[in-house]
Parts: sequence; C-alpha cells; structure tokens
Amino acid sequence: MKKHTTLTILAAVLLFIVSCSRTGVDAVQKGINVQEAKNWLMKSGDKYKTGKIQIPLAGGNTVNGTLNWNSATTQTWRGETFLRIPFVFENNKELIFDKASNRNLIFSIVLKNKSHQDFEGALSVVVQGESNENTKMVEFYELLNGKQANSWATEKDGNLHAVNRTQLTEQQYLKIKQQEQEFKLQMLKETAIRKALFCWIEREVTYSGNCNYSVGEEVFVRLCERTTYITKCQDFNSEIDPFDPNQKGGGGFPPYVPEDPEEPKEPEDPCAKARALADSINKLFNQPSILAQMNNLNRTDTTESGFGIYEKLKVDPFDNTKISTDSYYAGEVQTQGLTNHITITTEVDYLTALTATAHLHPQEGYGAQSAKDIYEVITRGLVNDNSGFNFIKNRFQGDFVAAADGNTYFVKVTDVAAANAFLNTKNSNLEGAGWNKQSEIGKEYYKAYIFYSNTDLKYDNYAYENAMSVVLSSFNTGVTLFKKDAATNSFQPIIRAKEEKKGFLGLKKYVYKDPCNDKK
Amino acid sequence: MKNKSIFIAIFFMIGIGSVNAQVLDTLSYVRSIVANKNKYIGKTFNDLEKDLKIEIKSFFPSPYIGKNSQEENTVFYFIRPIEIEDFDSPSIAIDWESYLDIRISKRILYNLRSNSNIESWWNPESKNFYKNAVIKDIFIFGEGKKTYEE
Repeated sequence: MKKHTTLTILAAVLLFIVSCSRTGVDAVQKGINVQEAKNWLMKSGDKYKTGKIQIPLAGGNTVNGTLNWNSATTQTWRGETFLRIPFVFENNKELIFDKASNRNLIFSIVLKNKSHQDFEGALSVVVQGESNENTKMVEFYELLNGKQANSWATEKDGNLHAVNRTQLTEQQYLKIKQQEQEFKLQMLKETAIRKALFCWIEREVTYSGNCNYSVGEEVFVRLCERTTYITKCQDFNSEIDPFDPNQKGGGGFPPYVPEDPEEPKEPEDPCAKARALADSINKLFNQPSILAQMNNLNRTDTTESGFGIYEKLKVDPFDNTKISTDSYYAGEVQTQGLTNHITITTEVDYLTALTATAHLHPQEGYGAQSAKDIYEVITRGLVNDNSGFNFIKNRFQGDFVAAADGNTYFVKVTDVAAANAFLNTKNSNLEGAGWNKQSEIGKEYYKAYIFYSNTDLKYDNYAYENAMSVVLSSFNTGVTLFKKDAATNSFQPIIRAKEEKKGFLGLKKYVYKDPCNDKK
Repeated sequence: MKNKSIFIAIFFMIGIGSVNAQVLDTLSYVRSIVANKNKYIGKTFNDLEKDLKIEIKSFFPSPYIGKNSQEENTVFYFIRPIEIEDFDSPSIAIDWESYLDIRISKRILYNLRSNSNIESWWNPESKNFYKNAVIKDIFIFGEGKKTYEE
C-alpha cells in the first residue's frame, strides 16, 4: 500500500514536471500536423518506423511498447514547437515501474518540424529511481539515428541541471565516489564553498536504441540498458540558463547533439606556444618556497630525491565561481628514490592542487627527465583532470629536474590529447626508466643520441637532452622538454625535429632541426 | 654530347644499384645473424666476431639508465656513420650478460672519432675490449629502410 502510494506521488510529480514545460496539448492546434509527423516517422524514422519498442527490465523481463499517437502533445521552447509521442505499455500505461531496480521509466519520441512534411527527432528516456543520490529524474535524448544527444536532470530540491555524459570505467567511478566522500567530510563545514565549486558524478541507467532489431511477426526496436556516468555541477546560478544549448554538457529541451567545448585557441607555432608556456614555468619556479626547496635537493647525492609542489586555492567570496591561486608551497623532500627513479608521494587537502613535482638526477644518470618521468607527468595530469573536481583540472603543470651538473629541466604536457594517446604506448616503449631499446622510439632515440654525441662523447647530457627532444617531437608525445638557460635564468623549450630533405637520385637525407632557433 | 649524357646516366644507375644491393645484402646478413642468435647467446663476443663475414666499422656503447658508467648494450655498424640517415643502416645491437665499463669504451671510441683520417672506428683496442664480453641478446638495430626511396 505504501509503495503504491509512493508510486502514485512519483507519477504525479513526473507529470507535473513535464507539464510545467508544456504550453499546449493539442498537436494540431500548435501547427504540427500529427498525421504528417506519423507519415514521416513511418517512412524516415530509422529504427522507429514501426513505432514499436521492447524494453529489457532489470529482473530479466521484457515489456513491449507502442507509440500512442492519440496521446501526442506539443511543447514549445524558445518559439519552436515539438511533438511528443509517448510509448504505451501494458494496460495502456506510459509509465513502467521496474520492480527489480526500483525505477520508473517513461519513453517517448520527440519530433520537430524542419520544413513542410519533413521532421527531425529523438528518443526520450526519462529515468527516475531511488538509485540516484540526489536526482529526482534524468532525461536522456538519443537521436533517431542512434547518436547520443543532450540530457538533463531534476534534483530532489526541484533544481534543473544540465548534465554531461562522462566516459569512465566503473573502477574510476568508484574511486571518484570514494574521493568525494572524503572531501564531503570537510565540506560540511564550508557549505557555501561546497555549493560554489563541486561537480558530482553519478551513475545512471538509460536505454539506447542501438541494440538488435527483432524481426518476426512484429518488428520492433529492442532497446538496451546502458550504464551511464553523468557529471552535474552545483555551481548553477541564475545567470546560467540550463536550457542553453551553448552550455557545456548540454541540457534541457529540445534534443540536440552536444558539441565538445571549444578549447581556447593557442598559437599554432609550437615554438611560440612553448615560449608562452615557459613564462608560467618561470613564475612557478621562482616562487620563494619552491626555490628554497630546490636548493635543499643535494646534487651530490647518489640516489634520487624529490618533492611535490602544491597550489593552495581560494574562492572569491563575492563570486564563488572565481577560483584563484592563494599561494604555492613545497612538500617535504622525500629520499626513497633509486639511482634512476623516484616515485614522489603526494597528498592534497581540500582546495589544494598538485601543481608539479621536482626531483634530483644524480651524477650517474642523465640530466634531463627519463622516459619513465615522461609517462609519469602525463599520468599525473590525467589523474587531476579526470578526478571529477573541476577546481584542480588543468592545474598540474609538470616535473622539474635538478641535475647533478647544475642544469635544471622541466617537462610539460603541451598537447593533452596527444599525450593521453601516447600513454597507451607505455608498456611497449618503457624498459626500466629508459626507452625500450628494441622499440621504434628506443631505436630512434639512440640514433639521435649517437648523432648528437658525434663530436665529443663527453657531452652525454647534451646528446641526451637533444635525443629526448627529437623523439618527444617525432613520436607526437604531446610533451615538451624545457631547460633553464643559465644566462637569462629562464626556462626555454628544447624542440628538435627530424626533417627529410630532398634526396639526390633517390637517396633520402635527414637533418635534425631546431625549429625555434634555426634560420628558415 | 648526347652519348656522354647517356653514359653518365648509366654510370649513376649502376652506382645507385650497387649501393642498394650492398645495403640489401648487409641487411640480409644482419637478419641471418639475429635469426641464428641462439648460437651466440651465452658465448663471448669473440665467438660472434670471428664468424662475421662483414667487417665491423664502428660501435656505440649505450649506458644503463641511472648508471651511466655501466654499458648495458652496444650497437655495431658495418659502416662508419656520419650523416643522420647512416644511423639507419643495417646494424646489430647486443645486450651484455654483465655490464661493461662504458668509460673505457667511450674513451676508445672518442679517440677514434677524433681522428678524421681513419676509415674505421673499430680497431684492435676496441676488439680487445669487447672480446670476452658475454652476449645476452642480439637484435636488429638499423634496417636501412629509411635510407633509400622505395
């Protein structure tokens, strides 16, 4: 009885929410000819031509649904009219209650007039259930051709949020939930800041029309259940319109395909780009607390030591979306390293981001970062960016090395997409702390190393830093090596490119170029 | 005049053809060494070198990362590489069972490279340095693929 009452209330709430955004109920009166829409769907509606779907429920049962054109209603949004045609299931009900998962489900097709007798449309899946932490309901749109479209959620407090579908593994999701829980304990004391900053990731279940068709006496689309991870941000304020298609992540109505947010345009010249980044490296390096800790690395040690560099963040009390750097500080020097590597243990508190790492390369090793250091920098950046906490996103800058010969190097991810792709090569390319000598990158590195040591093998570090730069560039690693210039006391990029020259009678010639300094 | 041009063209074609043939022959030979590497693994470098049908012309010692005084691996070329593309020429790399003292091999090589008058960077001193080193693995380092147009 209690469950029945709850179900009735939920249904009423859902109907209320849906009706709030509707300004009319009579499709014909709102300028959409229902018969024309039906004809179009039967002819051009991709998988939904027959108007029949089959839903697999969590308990193993399936239910069949049919479009109920008689219940089609119109909705208007920003001057455009949409036709919503619900699917009905057993006993002519639009709402399915899945006992096994304790969820309510509503399915419908939404169509929009493009031109005379021509439409475009999407499948709408509304999911409501107790599995959601704070969410009253989530609506997922999928275009009729199966392409994922926008989605939005209504919180239990009635707030509407645009949500962004996030690519995660279950393992990553569980780790994020654990981190969230740890942060929450601290956040309870700072409710205002919590509301300002946080995005949450939730696990939802939706249905997709990309599963098999079933062909028999009846032709229908069998929807498949999909676990979906969505990101919702709690920093929505009155100035942000959750229905605005330009908002990241998409949301609201009508269905449209969310586009990736535009990355800020960076200079195309890799040297100009790297030089611009060098300014931020100089600024970080010259923080008094970091300089002091760099000086504490003993360059005569025979094993590696290092420390984490952190950024304390602050929130503008009058505009809680503005997050800025309060201060930088260095962690304690850790001395657990080997002769050729150290894994620096890092620890962040609330409103603190790991900005960089720094470590010593002893005399017995090369000056600049090792292959293992390169992969570690990419990984640390990725961990920050995928943590689900927006305030630390893009804040990891890279790794400093204090070399025994007095030089200081820095490696930085300068192309995130390329670096993340390169990370997949770790198993085949890495051997110990260096490049696998039998891998393509290992061979290319060593050829360049021999070439640069051609004049004097005593200049090992010179040959090493140049050879590393050659492969970082040639293998599209997305990582750039910088070196502190002794004369200017500022970091400069080391970029080396292997270029092919026109051959004579079929002979190919190559040159290593310094595109940032060589004359064209 | 026309005959002279034809003669020059034929001369160059023969020249390039023979260079290609030489590269291919060296590559085939390098591949055969690696294919039969089990014969040499666990044996000394001297055992391999005495079987070589092509003379080594240069060697490049490679350190163990983090222990730059220890030679983990050495690349042997059958030419004296000067240009970048020369480093792609057919060559073998050998991993050593026990690391060698790279400071010695580097000094030998440095002295050879400093002398621009010699044709080979492989001499009795370098032979003597490697002769007792025990081979752990052999693999192809350069395959010469990038040296010539297809």
